[in-house]
Amino acid sequence: MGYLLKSNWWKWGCVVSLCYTVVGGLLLPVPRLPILHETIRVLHFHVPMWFGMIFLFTGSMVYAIKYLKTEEVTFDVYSHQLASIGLTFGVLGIITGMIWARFAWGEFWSNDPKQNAAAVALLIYLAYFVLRRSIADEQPRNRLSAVYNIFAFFLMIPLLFILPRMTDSLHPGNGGNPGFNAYDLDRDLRKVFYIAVIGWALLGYWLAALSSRITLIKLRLEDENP
Amino acid sequence: MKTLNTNSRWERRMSFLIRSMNIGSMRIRSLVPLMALAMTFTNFSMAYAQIEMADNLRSEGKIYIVIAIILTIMIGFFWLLFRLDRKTKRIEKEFSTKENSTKKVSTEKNR
Repeated sequence: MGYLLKSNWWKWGCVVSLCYTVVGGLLLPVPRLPILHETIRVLHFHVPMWFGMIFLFTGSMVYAIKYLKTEEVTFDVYSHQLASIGLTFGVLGIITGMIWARFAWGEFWSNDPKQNAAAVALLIYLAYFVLRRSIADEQPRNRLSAVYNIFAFFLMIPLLFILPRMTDSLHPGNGGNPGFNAYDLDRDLRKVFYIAVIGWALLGYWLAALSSRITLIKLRLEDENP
Repeated sequence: MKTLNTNSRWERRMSFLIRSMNIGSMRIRSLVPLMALAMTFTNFSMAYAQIEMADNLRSEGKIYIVIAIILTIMIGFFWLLFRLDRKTKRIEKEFSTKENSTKKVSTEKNR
């Protein structure tokens, strides 16, 4: 993150890969599948939201551990900002998923295991921000929220990747439904999907880097005139 | 070719095919189920083409308008992001110069 704050080249990587995602994602041929039809292209936009969220939460967890090791406030800022952008990505993922589900499954919310588990995972992370705001003193706040952050990350993994796969889910890739093996292994989709994941994840890191920088300036201002 | 059972329609068709190919060996019989499989695949691909996709949007070229609009919006947002980047950098620089000057002042006072 420290390196990402100083360098610029990866931002251009983000611009190029996202422009390619839009052009390739809308133009390149996709497999013709019943029910999905053209909505299969959502793969390049909805799924990278979740991948991006996981990358951001992973970064957040790593900085939470670093904070606990060193007690450096900068690491707490990184951890907090990465988590907040990650949550935004998750909320966008769940909203885009709901829009898609309205047309593929018939309802915005059908209490599908995948939907419910994703909502629970987001609520767990929402509690992280509630926890942060409920403690006024800086040091216990940072320490507690870092511990909770690690806990939330390891709760999110089974909620998103294991539990929905153990029951019947309508979501592609879950409950015996084809997912990565049927759509993603398709060569045409692969050409865009991986680059889409990289592009969206970089966008998330870009936003997190910006908000971290602004938060660091704010902290310095508070230090100077408390 | 007497070994070929010509009861069903497609088997008759197959036997005709084999005869026309003029290779009436036993080996070709093992190919029959494979050929049947190939036929089902051609049927499958026919169904595959019937699945509705936005083919018209492509053939009329209107999808390019959609892409142009999305790209314009994205470039706009990227421009905003880069501008925000530059703004924060300017503030950061201002801060560091200010901090350095205050440090100098304080050290001078200490002297």
